[in-house]
Amino acid sequence: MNRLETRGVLLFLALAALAPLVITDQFFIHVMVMVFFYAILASSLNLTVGFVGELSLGHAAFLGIGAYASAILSTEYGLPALACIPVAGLLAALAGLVIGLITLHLEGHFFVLITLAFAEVLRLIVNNWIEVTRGPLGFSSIPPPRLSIGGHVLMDFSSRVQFYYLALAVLAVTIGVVLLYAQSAFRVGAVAVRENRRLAKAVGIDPFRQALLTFVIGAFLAGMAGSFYAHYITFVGPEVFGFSFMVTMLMMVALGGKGTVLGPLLGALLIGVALEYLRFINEIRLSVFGILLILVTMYLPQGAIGLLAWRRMRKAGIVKVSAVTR
Amino acid sequence: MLETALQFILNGIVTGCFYALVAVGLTLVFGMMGVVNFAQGEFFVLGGMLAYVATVQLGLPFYAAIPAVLAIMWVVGMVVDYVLLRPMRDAHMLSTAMVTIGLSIFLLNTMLLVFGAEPKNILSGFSSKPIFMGGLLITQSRLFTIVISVVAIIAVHLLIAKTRVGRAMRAVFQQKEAAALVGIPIDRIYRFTFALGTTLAALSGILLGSVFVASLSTAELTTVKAFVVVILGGMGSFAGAIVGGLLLGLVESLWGGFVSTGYMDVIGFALVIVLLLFRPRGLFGMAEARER
Amino acid sequence: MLELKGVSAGYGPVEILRDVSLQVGEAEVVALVGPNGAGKTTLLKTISGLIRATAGNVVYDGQDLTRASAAVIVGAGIAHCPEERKVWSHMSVEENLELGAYLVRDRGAVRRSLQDIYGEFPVLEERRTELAGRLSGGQQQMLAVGRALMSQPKLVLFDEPSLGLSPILIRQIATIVERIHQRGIAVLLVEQNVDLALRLANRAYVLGSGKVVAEDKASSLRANPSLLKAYLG
Repeated sequence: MNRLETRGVLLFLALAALAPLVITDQFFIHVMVMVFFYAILASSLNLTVGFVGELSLGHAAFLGIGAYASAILSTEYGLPALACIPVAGLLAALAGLVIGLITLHLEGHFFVLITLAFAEVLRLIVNNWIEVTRGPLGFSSIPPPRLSIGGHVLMDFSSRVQFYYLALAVLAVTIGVVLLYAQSAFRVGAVAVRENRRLAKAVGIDPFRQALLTFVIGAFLAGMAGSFYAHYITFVGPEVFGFSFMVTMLMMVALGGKGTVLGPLLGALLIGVALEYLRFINEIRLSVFGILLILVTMYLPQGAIGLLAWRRMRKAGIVKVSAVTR
Repeated sequence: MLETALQFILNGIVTGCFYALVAVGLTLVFGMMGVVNFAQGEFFVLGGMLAYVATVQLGLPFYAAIPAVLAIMWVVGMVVDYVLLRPMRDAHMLSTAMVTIGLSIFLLNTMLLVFGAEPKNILSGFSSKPIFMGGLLITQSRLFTIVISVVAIIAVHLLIAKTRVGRAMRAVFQQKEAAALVGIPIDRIYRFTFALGTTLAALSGILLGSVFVASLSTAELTTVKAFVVVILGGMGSFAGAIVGGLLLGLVESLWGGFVSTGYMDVIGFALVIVLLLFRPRGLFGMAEARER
Repeated sequence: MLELKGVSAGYGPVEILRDVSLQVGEAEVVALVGPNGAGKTTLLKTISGLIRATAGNVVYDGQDLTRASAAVIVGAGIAHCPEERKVWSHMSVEENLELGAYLVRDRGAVRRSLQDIYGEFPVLEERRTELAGRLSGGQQQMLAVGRALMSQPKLVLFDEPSLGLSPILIRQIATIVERIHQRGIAVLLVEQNVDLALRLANRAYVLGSGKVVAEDKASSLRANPSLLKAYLG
């Protein structure tokens, strides 16, 4: 975590907190709410992909678990939405613990495939377990949050700006968690895991426990994101488990720069804005995404943030422009 | 009761053939190149869609459409390898996976734009009148599927076991550096292998489309199920992919027939999760055969 | 016939060889000695095209092979018998040998080379249908040598052929190198066993941390053990 990045994160949060005071356009507010939502998701995925170095394709499962937990708890059991968010996070973390215990013993390709299989299984269960999940119909009219003290309603979330600040608050919590994670001794552990499992073992770090902890934290954050999504969109169906959320998150992490704190935020901003403002080219949007993902992976493996850092270093003469290896 | 069971088994074998063909391609590419091809399901669907174009829109007879589509898909495989995979030969496995994921997203959504979401019929020219074999019934197109699949699998086996290029493939698979040192052009062997995998997936898509319909919605599930088969059989194992494919087809068919159709697609994943817990190398455990 | 001019090479950003120049003449046996990690294996890999040189030129028979692929280099007549044998253990002995002649299109020529190798190593003929992985270490080494000869080379690069072999087998390897030499095939020999290498070679290069630190007749180097010891550390 370098100074450039810390400043970038603080700048991002400060601008985000002030923006609604200047821009009152409702669509802009909505776009930014979605950007924050995606930023939480991308940051949570980045923990496993960027810091542990294992590609999880099952991360949408935690989003889905969070969203469904919130939908069921608030519509069927009347739990207040603001309480749902952390509870949904915890439930997703629990699922993360179970799935992680099973899957993280596997490495590389096996891990990629098995996490994908888990998400698929959950999607199929949600589709078929109609008594609990209402099947393909899903849940609609999920109530919005309410913040009241002593019977006095402070916020009823009837306006988008209130959602905006709620999303920003969850994002701030997420960034806080990721920063703590990145700066604590865990980072040493997790990065060691990414670089070399055997080396990690040799210096007394248990790569499995590191990876598991990281995985569970990621699941918790994704679960909160799912819960927020349920209350903001007010509808949840099986598609929250689907591959398109997964792809979007992955794109954001890859484009922004994996293994950094600022990268996923940048990725969420760039792609989130493009997603919402380019609705009119909806049909070709995903085709373009596919190509973009390929190009970024092949030619910009460090993501946008890598580009920034690289240019700075190049100015300072640290990086020689080396030929692309075969 | 017994006859019902036999009927389900027969249906399971047909489905198993689809899985086996897709999975053989996937496992060859993985074993040789260390590439997990997330676009395999899209190649499968593209085969079906092109067969639809050939038989319905261009009016070609089915027997002419099959080789034409396979030839096109061979070229598609060569181009994909040349443009996307060749620059990534030394890259980390995750990066290559991201590239094939990107390709899968691109192919699926582009096909959606070109062909639309509704399923397509392939005109195979087979009569829909079933053939009775004892108490079992099978349609002509299903019988054709089984025959073609068996022929294709034997052909690929002979290719790998008996031909010069097959021997080169095995040499690269077992010991890449030695293969380079005797002058085997590794890059071209990779391209050949990838094109072969692409073509096998497309063949499966054509056959499935002729039995049922060709549908874009099957792409993702096909990829995931092919992975299930590959894990069941052991990654990189040719025989494992065939046995795993048939096994998955049978289990799904019997489960769907006797237990519940709703969870039919879940059963394969359940199998894989259980298997990975107890035998992470797969049923055939060929992964160890690979030397570094 | 083989000439390296100012060759640098390495793995990715790590440079192992720096500005190495050496020559191997027609039908000459040249030894390449030096301490572990000096870059001997890297040098052989650079010649055979497994690693690309980042600077300098590799010229063979007047042909610039610096950017050529491994296949072109084998075709030009340079065979590389790699470290740790690297045989295909799940293929038969005969398949291993036949693959050595992958680029030789003439079936008759392949058959003749095969008979030749079997004449040289009768044990390989005895066990020709067995899987190479079942052979002993020494037999695998013979197989690797045989495989290299199957491409009908004019220059053979040997990487540590005596590694892990018993004294009897080491003597056998020495005999093989001599016989290859007698057939007019040039040899570039990398050996930890300096004594052996210098006995077999006409000339020798000493490599230290990626550079040529000495070059002399093998006999002169043998006559001056204290100097040699200083080089080899």
